[in-house]
Amino acid sequence: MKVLEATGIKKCFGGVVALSDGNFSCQEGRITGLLGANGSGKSTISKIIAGVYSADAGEIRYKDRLVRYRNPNEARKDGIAMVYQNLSLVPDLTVWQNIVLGAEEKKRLFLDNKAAKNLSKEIIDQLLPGLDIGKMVYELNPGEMQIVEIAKAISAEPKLLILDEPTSALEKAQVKSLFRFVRSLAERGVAINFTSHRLWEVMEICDDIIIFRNGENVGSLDFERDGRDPERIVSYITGDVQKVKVSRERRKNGGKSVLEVKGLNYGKFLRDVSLDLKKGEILGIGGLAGQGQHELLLALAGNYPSVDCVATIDGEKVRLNRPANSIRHSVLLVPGDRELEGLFLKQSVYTNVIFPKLGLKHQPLFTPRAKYRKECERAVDVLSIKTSSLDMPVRTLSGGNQQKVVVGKWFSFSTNVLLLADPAKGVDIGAKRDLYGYIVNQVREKGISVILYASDTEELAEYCDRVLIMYEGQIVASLEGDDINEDTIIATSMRVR
Amino acid sequence: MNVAARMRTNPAFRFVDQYKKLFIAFLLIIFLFLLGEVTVSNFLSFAQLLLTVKLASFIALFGLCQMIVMAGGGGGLDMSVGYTATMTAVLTASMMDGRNENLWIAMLVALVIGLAVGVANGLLTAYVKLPPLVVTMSMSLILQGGINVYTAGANITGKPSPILQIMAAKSIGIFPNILFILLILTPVVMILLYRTKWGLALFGTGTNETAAYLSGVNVKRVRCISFVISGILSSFIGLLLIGNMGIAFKDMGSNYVMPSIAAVVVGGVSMNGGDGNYIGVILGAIFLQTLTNLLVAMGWGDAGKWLGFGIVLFILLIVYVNDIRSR
Repeated sequence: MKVLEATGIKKCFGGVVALSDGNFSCQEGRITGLLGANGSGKSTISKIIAGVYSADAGEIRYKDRLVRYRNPNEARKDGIAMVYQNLSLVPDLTVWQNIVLGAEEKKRLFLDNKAAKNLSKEIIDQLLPGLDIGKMVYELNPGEMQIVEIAKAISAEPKLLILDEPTSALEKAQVKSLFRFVRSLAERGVAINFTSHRLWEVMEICDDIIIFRNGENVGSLDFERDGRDPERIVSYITGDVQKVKVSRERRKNGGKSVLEVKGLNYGKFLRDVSLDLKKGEILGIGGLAGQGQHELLLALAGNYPSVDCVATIDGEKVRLNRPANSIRHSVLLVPGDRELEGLFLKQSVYTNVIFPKLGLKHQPLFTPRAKYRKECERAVDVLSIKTSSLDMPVRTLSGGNQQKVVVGKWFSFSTNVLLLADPAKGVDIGAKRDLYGYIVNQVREKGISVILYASDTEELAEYCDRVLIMYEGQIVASLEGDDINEDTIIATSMRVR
Repeated sequence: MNVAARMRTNPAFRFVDQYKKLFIAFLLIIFLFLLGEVTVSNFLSFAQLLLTVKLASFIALFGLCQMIVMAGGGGGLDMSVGYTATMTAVLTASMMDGRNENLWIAMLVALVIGLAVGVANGLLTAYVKLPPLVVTMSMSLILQGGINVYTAGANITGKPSPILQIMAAKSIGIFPNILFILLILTPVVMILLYRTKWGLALFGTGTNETAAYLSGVNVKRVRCISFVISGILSSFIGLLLIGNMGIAFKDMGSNYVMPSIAAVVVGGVSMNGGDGNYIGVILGAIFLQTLTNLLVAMGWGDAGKWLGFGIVLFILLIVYVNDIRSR
């Protein structure tokens, strides 16, 4: 029996279309997987169903009734529970307090702690036997926290359970016991929506899958009927393999080494990463979202004081523990989250563009304003940043122009290596073309080297000379020459090949 | 382009938008004067205005310290300005002993005290990462204790040097001299903040610490320097304070701390950091002083003053809360 059916769902964020025509349905007692590349809309549709976002258009029928939830609580009361990717637990409460938080018995003034503890224990015993429900959440490891998060969702006894990347923090054994439990829930008639980047897991646990690409669902497979063929799934995810239009000749390997890193470690994000960037090369970093690509670029830019790694830049040893070190050796970062890491939103275009100069040594105490303004004007001109004056707060600019300002910060610096973290994210097509045009130009004319992380595989396939694939903080593959195409990049990212 | 966007790019609109908080502070002052003229007679006059500015000047001076540490963000606040000034005044009173030739020793002492307090505050907040409120409050208590110990044994003797008295207490014609100090200080502060490497780095750090750090700016040092400047400034304000009062006593600076923070808020400077217009702070100080005058004239006295300050702060914080949220 169909529990929920969503048809023609549309959702835009700002000017970016996240979902253009999303359709989804799930059935009682079945586990339905959602698959798709980064930004394909699979997470968005889950969140719309759970009431986190509201759809711009389209309708959702739940138990043959048209529904429109304004917030996750309404959905939860109706029996739709979602487990979030980023944890929503309160660290200073115990496990059982977190599980019943928000759903406490409201009958009396005081909480019925005994009943709450019993309920929590019952759920936890099935999910992760041996976990003490009296423990504080901050004492748990990430996997245990994820389990508590799931337990919290289950405590509301949902009819539809949405699991968004529930396994990313779990260890193998924990995944196994989670799957057993999810299966037993399904057997009790709960409909389950399961999203994961790990193709193997999806094939193991799901009964059927729906595949998203570019904001719409492009295919669905019933595993029993259609069989479990990973290559076929990948071809759905990537679409018809278009011949990649190479706008520039791919460089063959070789040349002088510009930046060399060996055995870079950072917490659980980066494990023994080594790379060797050649002069004039555009080196792509691919992989599923959140496999350590951002951390790699930040580490190379010197953002982590605790990173104990010495890089060789142009034959010189440089410690990567302060941004100033990397900048002095002309290794410059264009960070991925421009609002949090790149821009001073309420300051002017001028202040933003000249800001990195303030960190340089041997600069005059008083800023040479006339000179700086001239440089700033040049940057605005060359990058075609659309702003009415240099004194406009960056906040008032469009996303694409804001991104150009982030790139423009390094305009007057002599660049050796440019680290680009998803530079075209949330940027319109015109600005995207301007940005990549500028970068390719810099590579060709000035011989700079680039490390490019892009969540959009198309960008990697189009511009890179070599692509490294990251998975769980490690570099697991290096693609060169004809292997650099969307199909191979995605298949390798999902570890199919 | 829609209407709102077109309005945003219109220069006249941009001007009003950028300085709207200054206008608000200015209008509030005019409103208070008019209200005073209606309720108590003889409130609105040029002489009264000048007197108000003179009385407001110390709030404005301490407000400068607050503005600078707030501009760096991270909850910047300096609760120790009052007792730093008091400490300097109390220690230098007997050294100066009413003679100009001893002023340079007093200035040296002021520099040392200010530097010591500022460096300690700066290191503890920026490098050890303790909350500025707690650090500067503790510093304030330590200084207060030190002053109490020092003044417990003996009476504070001595007078300020005549130069300080002329600067802080006297007038040229009807214009109080301290007004000229503010007039000189304002462009100096604006140049320091808007034209120097450190000033721009401070604003950037206050707006977005991560972005500033990733741009290669040493955010810890930038913030530390703001506390050092605040310490030195407040110490020198102590010299003006004794010049104004003619004698030193043990709580002479402490009453200015809260109003100095209030003046920054009324002046429209964001407590989250990233901006700082000293003219706004001066207007804020004048507003608070006018409010005090009005309440005193209406017979509410000191109790009414604090009540009034509190209510005004609440209202303005609510009005400005949108700016905080939109960050």
